[in-house]
Amino acid sequence: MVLIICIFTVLSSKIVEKRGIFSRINKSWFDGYKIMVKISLTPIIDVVFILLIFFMLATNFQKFNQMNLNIATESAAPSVLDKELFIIEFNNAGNYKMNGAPYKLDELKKIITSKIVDSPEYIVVLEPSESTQLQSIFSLLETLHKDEIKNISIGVKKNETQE
Amino acid sequence: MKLKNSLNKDNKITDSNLLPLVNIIFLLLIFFLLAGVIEKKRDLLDVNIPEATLEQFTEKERPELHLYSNGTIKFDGSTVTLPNLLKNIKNQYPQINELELLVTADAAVTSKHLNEVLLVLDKSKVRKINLLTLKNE
Repeated sequence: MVLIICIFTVLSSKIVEKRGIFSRINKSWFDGYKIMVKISLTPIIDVVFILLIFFMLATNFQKFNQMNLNIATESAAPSVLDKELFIIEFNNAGNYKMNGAPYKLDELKKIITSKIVDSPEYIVVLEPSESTQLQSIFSLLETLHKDEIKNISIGVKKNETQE
Repeated sequence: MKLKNSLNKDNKITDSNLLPLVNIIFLLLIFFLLAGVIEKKRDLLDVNIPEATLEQFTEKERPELHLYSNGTIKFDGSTVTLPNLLKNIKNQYPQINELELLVTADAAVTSKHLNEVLLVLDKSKVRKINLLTLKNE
């Protein structure tokens, strides 16, 4: 919209300048004007360059997402007894265990998806190994999220000294 | 191959030679108009955040916590140690029960480090944490 207004302003100012419209106000716009108007492109290029530089500097291509996290401490276990609980242990190497049994990621997703159809009240708790990097945790979160598996928490292990 | 002469009969540069340039600039301009969003760039303070497409990011005023892979922690832009984090949060935000925290953590941060930070946040009664990620295209 800004661009169109700028171009129109530049073009119209040039036309008005060339035709001398204000000095011939008594004549109608189209009467006797057969002269080919030559429009200089330089002002247009100036304006467009300025707009281009503005958009290049102001435009942001980064798009952010967020993970809303609920902290699930081990002491909070009694509150989740009435729900189906899936505890997923995993590491950087891509080894997964669900409720103590080893599974591949695809199997794990299928099991959770099939079980949550019957019991929609469920909680998935991720328990990464100590050396697991955050990128691995988020990759798993993204995979589960794509399969419409929600209610995911990251388990916090309390140190025994802190108890 | 003979190059086209950019001068006219009077040896003057004509505007018609600028048309390809104008075309390209217009294309670039349209690209930036359509592909980008004009908004304030978020300062990540040199944190290489993980990539994951999760929930829509909502921009709002909230305290920020930056976690680095070398163990450095920054709370609202200033470096703090892990034992002092709790004190800093309590001092700066006395209404601690209603606090929502945006955590910008490095992709290489280990689970152990995150666990330690979450334990401290748990003590400060922070229940709502938003972990920032970069959307996968």
